Amino acid sequence: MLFLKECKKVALSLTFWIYCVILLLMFFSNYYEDAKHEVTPPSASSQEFGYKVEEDPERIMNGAVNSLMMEFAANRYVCYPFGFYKAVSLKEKDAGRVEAYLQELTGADHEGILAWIDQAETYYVDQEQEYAFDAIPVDKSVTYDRFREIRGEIDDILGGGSDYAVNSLAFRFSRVPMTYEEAVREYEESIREDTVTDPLARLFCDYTGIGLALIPVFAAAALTAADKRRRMSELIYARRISSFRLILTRYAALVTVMFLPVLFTMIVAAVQAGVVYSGAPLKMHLMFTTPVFWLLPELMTATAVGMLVTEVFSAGAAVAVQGVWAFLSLMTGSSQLYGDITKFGLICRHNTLYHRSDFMATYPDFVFNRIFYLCLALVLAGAAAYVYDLKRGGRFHGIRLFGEGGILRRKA
Amino acid sequence: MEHRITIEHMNKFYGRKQALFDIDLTIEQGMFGLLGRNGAGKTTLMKTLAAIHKKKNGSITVCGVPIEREREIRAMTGYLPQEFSMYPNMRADEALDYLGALSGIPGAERRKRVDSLLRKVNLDAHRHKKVRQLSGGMMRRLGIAQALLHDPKVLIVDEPTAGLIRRNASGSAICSARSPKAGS
Repeated sequence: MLFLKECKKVALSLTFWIYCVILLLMFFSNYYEDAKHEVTPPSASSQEFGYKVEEDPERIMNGAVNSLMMEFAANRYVCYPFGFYKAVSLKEKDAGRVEAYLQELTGADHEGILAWIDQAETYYVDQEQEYAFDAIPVDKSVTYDRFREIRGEIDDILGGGSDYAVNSLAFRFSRVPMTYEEAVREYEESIREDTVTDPLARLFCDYTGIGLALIPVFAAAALTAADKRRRMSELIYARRISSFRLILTRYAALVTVMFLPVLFTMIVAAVQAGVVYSGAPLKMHLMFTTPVFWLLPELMTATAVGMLVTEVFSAGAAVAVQGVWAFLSLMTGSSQLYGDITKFGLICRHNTLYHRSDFMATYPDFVFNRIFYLCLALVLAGAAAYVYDLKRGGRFHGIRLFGEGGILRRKA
Repeated sequence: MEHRITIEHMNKFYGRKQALFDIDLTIEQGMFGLLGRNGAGKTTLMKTLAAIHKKKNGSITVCGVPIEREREIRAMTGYLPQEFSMYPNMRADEALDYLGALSGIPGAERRKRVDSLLRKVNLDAHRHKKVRQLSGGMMRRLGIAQALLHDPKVLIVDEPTAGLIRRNASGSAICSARSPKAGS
């Protein structure tokens, strides 16, 4: 059976074993370490019980206006576009637009804003002058909806990634300490609701998903390029098998074999959970169903990208494309490690055993996301087969990026 | 069914460079050789006949089947490229079995044909050797075996004697239109 022969080819390849080693190292150094101690209920004698995010309009508006005033006074706005630190200084025109929004938010005129800045305490951080304000009052006529509009526009002026991005507001300005009762409720909800295997499975997927967004592309690209590298392309082209059957069989083999080490880590994680929480009621199937639904579409997508880009360009280009995509996906969500699953982010993160309610709030987006990537992966694999068919019939020869005839070759 | 290859007014380009000029050729059943200096277009013509390259214009029929019906052409054609190589970690019999699977030969029949062909090309004693351990001559014989694997009506072999004989065989190539009943 061709599928089994392709599986054997994948399993005997060096890139697959490198993939296994990286995956296992990531598993044992991240998840396994985090999950080896039993999660215990909060103790009433503790001083702190963590924080919770609460969408309190008044708290958010006060905190955000104060922060905006500080950054406006220093003309230094801290942003994290794609997760990277960037200090933005606005030119006069844009600074004027921000001031106009500040005036609308506070009800003060230009002189009033200047007076607040004059009265503010100043200090220096890294030779940069910073300002500290007493509570800046928010104009009571400004509704929360209008406030959100203004924050979105300010975020646009700053180029994105600022604290004023609408989806960052609550997380940035409305985190409040939890009480003991709230901490117990959080524990009960997160750990007891679906037994501890539910949060453990989410944490497992969070860590494993980071690796699966990138490392499968190496094996996929290497094996796709193998025929060309071994000068076997024409030998294979001349066989009777259809291009779609060949490429989709190879794709299925890559995904199946590369999912085996993931399955192995799932079994280790389940056994570990069984040992650590020995005697406790556990819904052990969640250690398998959640990771399959969470991780398989990601693995399929990275593999399909690897095959398609290798067919069109080269194995190196495939690694570069997937590398950039995975990196941007990871860095875009780096400020919030949970509760920020979007419809189209490649990597879904929930780097905590708690905050089940935050995960459930984004659950419809999460389900959409995984189904979207499952479909996208199949479309990309189909596209790879189509490109292979074009190459096979001599209708397309791939696009060379570098070297002789390369589209990116520097002209002498 | 006719047993000939017919080529009429066929041209082939690589980008702007014309590789084959208005070829008109009929190859009757039997053995047919192409001789020419390096770069004359022998390999290009054979790849076009094997449905690996696309012609610019003109027509080609192989045993009555237009070359555009690629799947049928591939099913009836055995092809040995000029540089034959295989996955180095596969055993010789495994390599043939894999290529047989790609040719759609059912498992039991495939095993029989692999055994038979390995004997015929005198590689039976080396069947468990990895491809990377085979000598140049053994590789060439393995190449011939894979081209015959699915009992093709047409066998296209590019420089089949390279590595088998000492004399320089450069510049020669053979096309053979075989009777469907002819043994391999």
